[in-house]
Amino acid sequence: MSKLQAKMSEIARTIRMSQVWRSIFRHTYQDTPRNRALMILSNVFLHLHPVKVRPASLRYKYTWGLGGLSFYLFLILTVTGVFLMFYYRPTVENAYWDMKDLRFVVPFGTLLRNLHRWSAHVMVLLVMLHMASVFYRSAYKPPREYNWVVGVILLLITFLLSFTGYLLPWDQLAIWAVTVGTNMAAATPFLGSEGPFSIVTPESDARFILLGSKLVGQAGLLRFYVLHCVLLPLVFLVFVSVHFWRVRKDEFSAVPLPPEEERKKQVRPEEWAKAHPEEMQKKVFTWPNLVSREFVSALVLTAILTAWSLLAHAPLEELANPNKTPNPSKAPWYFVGLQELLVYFDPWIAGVVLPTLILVGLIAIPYLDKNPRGVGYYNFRDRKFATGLFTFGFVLWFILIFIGYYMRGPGWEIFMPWEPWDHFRAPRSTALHSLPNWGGFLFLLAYAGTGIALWKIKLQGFFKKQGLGPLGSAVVIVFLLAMFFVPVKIILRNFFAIKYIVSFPAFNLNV
Amino acid sequence: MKRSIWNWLFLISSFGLGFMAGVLLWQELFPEWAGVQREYNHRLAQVTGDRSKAWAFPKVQQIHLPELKRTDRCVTCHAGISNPKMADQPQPFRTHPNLGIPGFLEKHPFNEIGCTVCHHGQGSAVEKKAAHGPVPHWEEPLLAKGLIVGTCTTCHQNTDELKGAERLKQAMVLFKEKGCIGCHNLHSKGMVVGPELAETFTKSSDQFDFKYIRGEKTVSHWVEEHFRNPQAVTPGYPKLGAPETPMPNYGLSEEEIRLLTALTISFSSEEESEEHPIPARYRVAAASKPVEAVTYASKVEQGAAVFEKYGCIGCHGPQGRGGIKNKNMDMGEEVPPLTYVSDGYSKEEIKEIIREGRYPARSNREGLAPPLWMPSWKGKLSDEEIDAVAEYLFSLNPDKPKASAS
Repeated sequence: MSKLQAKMSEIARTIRMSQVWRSIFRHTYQDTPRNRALMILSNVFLHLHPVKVRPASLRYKYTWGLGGLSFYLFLILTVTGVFLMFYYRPTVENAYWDMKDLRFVVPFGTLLRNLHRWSAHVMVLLVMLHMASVFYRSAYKPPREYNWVVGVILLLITFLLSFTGYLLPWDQLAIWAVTVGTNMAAATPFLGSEGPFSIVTPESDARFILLGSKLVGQAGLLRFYVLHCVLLPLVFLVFVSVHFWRVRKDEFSAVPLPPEEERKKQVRPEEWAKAHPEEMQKKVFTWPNLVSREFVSALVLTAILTAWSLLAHAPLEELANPNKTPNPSKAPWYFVGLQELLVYFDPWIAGVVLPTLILVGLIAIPYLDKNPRGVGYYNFRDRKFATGLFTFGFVLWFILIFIGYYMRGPGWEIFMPWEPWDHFRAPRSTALHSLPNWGGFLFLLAYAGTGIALWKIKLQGFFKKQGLGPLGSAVVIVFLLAMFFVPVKIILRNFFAIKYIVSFPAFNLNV
Repeated sequence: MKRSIWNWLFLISSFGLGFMAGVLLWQELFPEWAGVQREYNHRLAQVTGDRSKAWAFPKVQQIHLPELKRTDRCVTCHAGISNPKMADQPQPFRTHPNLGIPGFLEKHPFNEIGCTVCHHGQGSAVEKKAAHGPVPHWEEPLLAKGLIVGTCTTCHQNTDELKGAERLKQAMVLFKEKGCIGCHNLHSKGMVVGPELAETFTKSSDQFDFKYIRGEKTVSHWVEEHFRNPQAVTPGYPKLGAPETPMPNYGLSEEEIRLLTALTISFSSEEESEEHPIPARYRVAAASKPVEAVTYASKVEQGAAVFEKYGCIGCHGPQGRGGIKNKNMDMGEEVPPLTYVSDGYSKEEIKEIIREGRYPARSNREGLAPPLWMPSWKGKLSDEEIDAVAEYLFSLNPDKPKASAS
C-alpha cells in the first residue's frame, strides 16, 4: 500500500512540476501569507479585490453583499440568457411558440426560463436596495462621488435590460406592458408626438425610435431583442467595469466600529478611527476571508433562485394580440409606481419628467450632500435631513409600486389585495374639476413660496454650516419641492377632487 | 465544534442545491409523458406480439403543421390514434374511432390536420393538465365530447349533409325554431339586440363575467350556464342602471343546451383566425345546390315564412303567441303577443312599428329599462316582406274571418 502511495505521490509531484502545470498555476496551495496574496494577485478575476481588506468590510450587516450579488445575478442572467438565445427566435410568428417549447420540450428549458425571469426581478430589486444601502452608509461621499453616478447609470441600465426583456416572450403581458411603457415615450415634451409642445409626428417621435413603429410589433420586437441581448449588456459591462475599478481604487468604505462600551458613549466610528489610526491599518487577507463569504452568498442566492424556479413558473399569458387589450394592462412591477402616478399626472410628467428628475436628483446627491459624517457605517443621527429625504422618496417609490401592482384592478380601480377582481364593478368615480388657471398659478406660487420660506426660516443656517452655496441650496430646494409635489397632487386629487392645477389644453400642457 | 453562520449557510445551500439538482434531473429523465409512452409500448408489444417494441426509447412525438400554425404533441401520449390494432385499448392508448362514418379516418389524416384543430386543447403541451386544460391563459381547452362537432365548420363550409355533423343540423333546427337571429347578429347578418354570435368563442374568458357562475372559467361553461338561466348569469347592474340580459330563458333541456353550445362553437370556427389559419386546400366547399325559387300560395303564407326566417319568433313566440318575459315592461312585463294585433292597430300602423322599431314603456317609471325592445327592421326587410308580415299578423286573430283578401 505504501508502495502505491509513494508511486501516486511521485506521479502527482511530476504533474505539479511539469512545465504545463506550472505555466497555468503560478504558485502552490500551501496556506502561507504569500500564497494568500498570490491567490488574488495572480488571478485575473479575483484581482478585482485588494489583497487585504479591513475586517469591517467583512461584516455582512454592512453591505449585505448587495453589490456583489447584483453582479452575480448579471452573470446568472448572462449564462441563462445565452442558453435561451439558442432556442429563441425574435419574430412575431415564432417567439411565443418558442416559449411554449422551452416550457414543455426543451431539456431544462423550464428551469432556464424560470431562472432567467426570477433572477431578473431579483436583480432589479437588489440593485435598488444596493443603492439604498450605499446611501445610508454615506459610501458616495468623497472620494466616491463619481462612482455613485456610475451606479445610478447602472441602475438605469438594469431597468432598461429588464424592460427590454419583458417584451421578448411575446404574450399579452409582454406587449401590453411595453405598450404602457412606450406610450409614455410618446408623451415626451417636444420629442413625443403626444407630449406638450410636440414638434414631431407619430412617425418620427421618441416612441417610433424605440419601436420602429407606432405600435408594438415585429420591428419593436427585433429592436428590443438586440438591445436586450447585445447593446445594453455591452454598455452595462463597460459601466460595471468602471464601477468595480473605482471601488478597487477608492477602497471599501467600511470603517472599524468602536467597541461596545465606546459606542454606548455615543462615540462615532470616524472619531474613534481617528483616535486609533492603527485600527484603520488593521487588515486581513481577502483570500479566504472575503472570497469565501462572497462564494457562500452567491451559493445561497443560487439555492434560493433554484428553489423559486422549481416552485413557480415564469408567467406566460396568451399569445400577444394587439386587438385585445387586457384590463388592466400593467407595466413591469418596477415601473408600476410611475404608472400609478398616471392617475395623478399627465403622461409627460409621470412618464418622462418625474423619472428624469429622479435620475438627475440621484446623480446630484453626492454633490449636494456636503455633510462629511457617516462615511463607512450606518449613520442616521448626524444626517437626519439627507436620510429623511432619501427615505421619503424611496418609501414613496415602493408604496406607489405596491398600490399599482397589488391594489389596482380593472379600470385601474382600487381593489384590496384580497378582493377578487370584478371586471364589471361600478367605477367609484367622483366628479373632478380643475382649478382655474389664475388660481392654479397662485397655488404654484404659494407652493414655491413655502419652499423659499422653509429655506429662509429653517434650512439656511443648516445649508451654510454644511458649506452648500446658494446655487446648491436652490437645487436642493427645487428637488425637494418636486418630490413633495407628488404627495401634494395625490392629496389634491383624492381629497379635493382637483384634476389639474393649471391646464393649457392647446399645448397639451396640464399640471 | 461551533460553526460560523457562513459554514451553516454553505452546508444548507449545498445540500439544498444538490437535492434540487436531483429533483430537476428526475423531472427531466422521468416526465409524465414518458411513463405513458412506456405503458403504450408495453401494450403495443402485447398486442403485436413483438417483444422488442416494449423497449422503445420514449420520446416526444409531434405533428408539426406550420401552415396551420399548430404543433400538436398530443400523440406523445395518444400514440395509438392511427394504429388500428389499439382499438380495444383504454384511453389514452386507443385508436381514434371512425365515429361510425365510413372513410372518416382516411379523409382526416392526422399527420396533416393534427388534433387541436378539431379537439382544441394546448397542442404544444406534454403535461396532461396543461394540454387538456382548463389552465389559465390557454383559451381553448379540450372540448367536451358533445361539443367537438362544433369545430367541423373550421373546414366544412356546409354541414347540412355532412355525416357525423347531424347534431349541428339538429341544433340549427332549434336555432331557427327559437328565432335567435331576431336579436343576434351571425356573421354580421341579423339584429343587434344581442351580441354577434360568431365572436363568442374568439373572445377570451375574462371578457365574460363569471361572478355568478360556479366551476371552471371557460367560455363554453359560461355559454352553457347562460343558456340554462340567462338572468342568473347576467342579472345586470341595477346600481349602474343596466338591466338584466334581454336573452329570454327558453327553458332548454340539457341536450338542447349542449346542441346550441356546439352550434355557437361552429359559428366561431367558421371565422378566419390569424392565430390558426386554415389553408384553402383544407376547406371543403359547400355542395352547390340549385336555389329553388320559392313560391307562396298567399301573402299570409309568405308572411309566416318571413316571421320565421327573421326570428320574430324569438320574442313574440310561435304564431305570435308571445310568452317571453320582458322585465318592467308595461302590459304585464311580457313581450306583446301578436294574436289580437288587428284589434288595436291598422295595417299601416303595424308596418310603421316594424319599420321604425319601438321602445317599450316601463310599468314602473322608476324601474330599469326593459331589456328587450323592438328593433327597426328598415333595410333588413323589403317592403314586400313587411307587407306580407302585416298580412300574416292580421290573419292570426281567431275572432275575425280568415279571408281578409280584400
